Amino acid sequence: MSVAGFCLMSLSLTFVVLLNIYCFVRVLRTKPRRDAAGATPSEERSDHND
Amino acid sequence: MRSSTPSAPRDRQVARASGPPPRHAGDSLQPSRPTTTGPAREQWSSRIGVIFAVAGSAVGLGNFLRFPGRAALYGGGAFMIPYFVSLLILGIPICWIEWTLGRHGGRHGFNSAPGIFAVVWQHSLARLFGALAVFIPIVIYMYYVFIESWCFGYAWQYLTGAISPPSAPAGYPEYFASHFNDYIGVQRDGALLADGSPALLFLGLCFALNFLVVYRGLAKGIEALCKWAMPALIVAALVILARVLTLGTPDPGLPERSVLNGLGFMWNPKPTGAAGGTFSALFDPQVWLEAAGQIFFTLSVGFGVIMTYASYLGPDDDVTLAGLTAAAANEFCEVCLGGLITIPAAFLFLGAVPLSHVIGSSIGMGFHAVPVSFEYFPFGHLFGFLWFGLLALAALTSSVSMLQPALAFLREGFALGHARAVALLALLVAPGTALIAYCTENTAALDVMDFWVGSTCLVVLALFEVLLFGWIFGAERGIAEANRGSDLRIPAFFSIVIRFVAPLFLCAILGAFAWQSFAKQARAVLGNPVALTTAIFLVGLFGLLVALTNTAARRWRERLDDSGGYGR
Repeated sequence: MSVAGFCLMSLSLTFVVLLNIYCFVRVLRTKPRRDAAGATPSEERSDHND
Repeated sequence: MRSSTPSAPRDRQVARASGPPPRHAGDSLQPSRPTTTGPAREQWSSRIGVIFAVAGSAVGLGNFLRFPGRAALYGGGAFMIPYFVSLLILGIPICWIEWTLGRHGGRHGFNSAPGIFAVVWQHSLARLFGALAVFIPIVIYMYYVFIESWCFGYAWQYLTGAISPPSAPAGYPEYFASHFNDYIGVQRDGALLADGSPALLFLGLCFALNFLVVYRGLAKGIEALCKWAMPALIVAALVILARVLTLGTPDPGLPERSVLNGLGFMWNPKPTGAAGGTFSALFDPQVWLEAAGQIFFTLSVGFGVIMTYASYLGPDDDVTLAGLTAAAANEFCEVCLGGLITIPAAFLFLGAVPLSHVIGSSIGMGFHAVPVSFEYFPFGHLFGFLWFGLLALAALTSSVSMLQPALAFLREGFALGHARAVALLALLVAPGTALIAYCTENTAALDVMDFWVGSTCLVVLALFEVLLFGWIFGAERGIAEANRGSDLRIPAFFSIVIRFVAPLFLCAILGAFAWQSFAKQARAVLGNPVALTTAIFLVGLFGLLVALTNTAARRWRERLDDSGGYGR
């Protein structure tokens, strides 16, 4: 494997992994919004399924 | 397994969820969630669930089979530069467009592309492209479920020991080639039926499994499946990856066949022609078109699937971060897993020259080259099972997504109950799958569907979506709509990308298709009765869907007229 190939592989993998970390951390750290009645969307949706 | 609980509560839920869109403008146009007293649409149960579902739709066989071959053929590591540029200026913007259009349509009570397009543009062209957005996923489903059944069948054969190549390694390639050809009946039409092939059993099981998942509904079916299938396939891929990367130099007599050289075969930058410098591939337009095409196909844009999935979001749910996250998850499976497993595994035991002969064929890579490699692995059958198991899961999460747009259309267009819509969809799709399963000689029928619908129509629909969003809905207004309630703001300069860059890129891809393949593919259709029959079938199906869309549009017109147009 050439140095250029190694660099391109490393940069590609690093970019994709960092993008995933950034996205999933932000998704998991964002709390669901609450509506005026104080219910989260999932709570409200579970009511429909009862 | 479904429980034996009396079905009345579920029936009530389905009846509520499957009712027609509200008739009065006041009912439907309120940008709010359904209330507990009004008609409720299906919705996702969690944010991570919809991300996994969209990622599951995008992650398919192409991530593990098509991408490595394209990259190795078109410049190696140099391919990644146009690949990532295309991701940023084509893939992610179109993803955001589909997410935004979907949520916008969902806010007005529509889940299918014909309805969503009508919200934005009340024009007969919107109906035509709406029909196309229903047509594309179900046609792709017709042949994709057949390929998916091969993966399930191979996984089962590895598990039960039915894969038994000769003891001499020299016979492996021929064994796997003939085993595959026999399995899919490539020798003649009707071979599977005449021979009572197990492939038909697996096809039937796969077909039923897909419809069972969509029958269970959005949250309990598709979302529940993707929430365990996506992590499972990633774990399976990581296990295989760990094994491949620790093989070193399996045969000391062939020191050039090492893991490092396998990675080099995939990642070393190389010219696409006989001559040229290390990075000369970057100046080859074909490489840019291939990279853009790969991004386009891997993200499952132009399907109408993301749009339908996003329509089940709440009116203020995030779409930008969710869209980017789903695309990132797909890229992880493609670049980090597909890019490190497939080529190195095949290279280790085949070598550079034989590998070069199959590298352009996804099927050849997946069903011939990689299985040969597993025969050299310790516990090779276990890894064979894992490989085809992960391919089967990737295919399953994609195929179920292809049914949802048409299901949503049948439900809201004709006020059908969920169970009836599922049954009608099965009747609509089954003839196409039967045609594919019967006409197996040289996969002529499959190739016609794959080229004209799975490739060409996909680009045409994506071009329409981009133009609709950028020029009719309005790029600035669209970006503002995308940013509403979102956790990640789309920069304003993306309006230029959406209005000019993405359409030009798509026109270039379409032009390249037309230049390179249209004449050849048209001759193939006219010169082969099976291919011609398939083409006639496709035209007839599209005509039927256009008629159905027009009928549904008449039902919706009352609402659209009442409101003076939804989205304008």
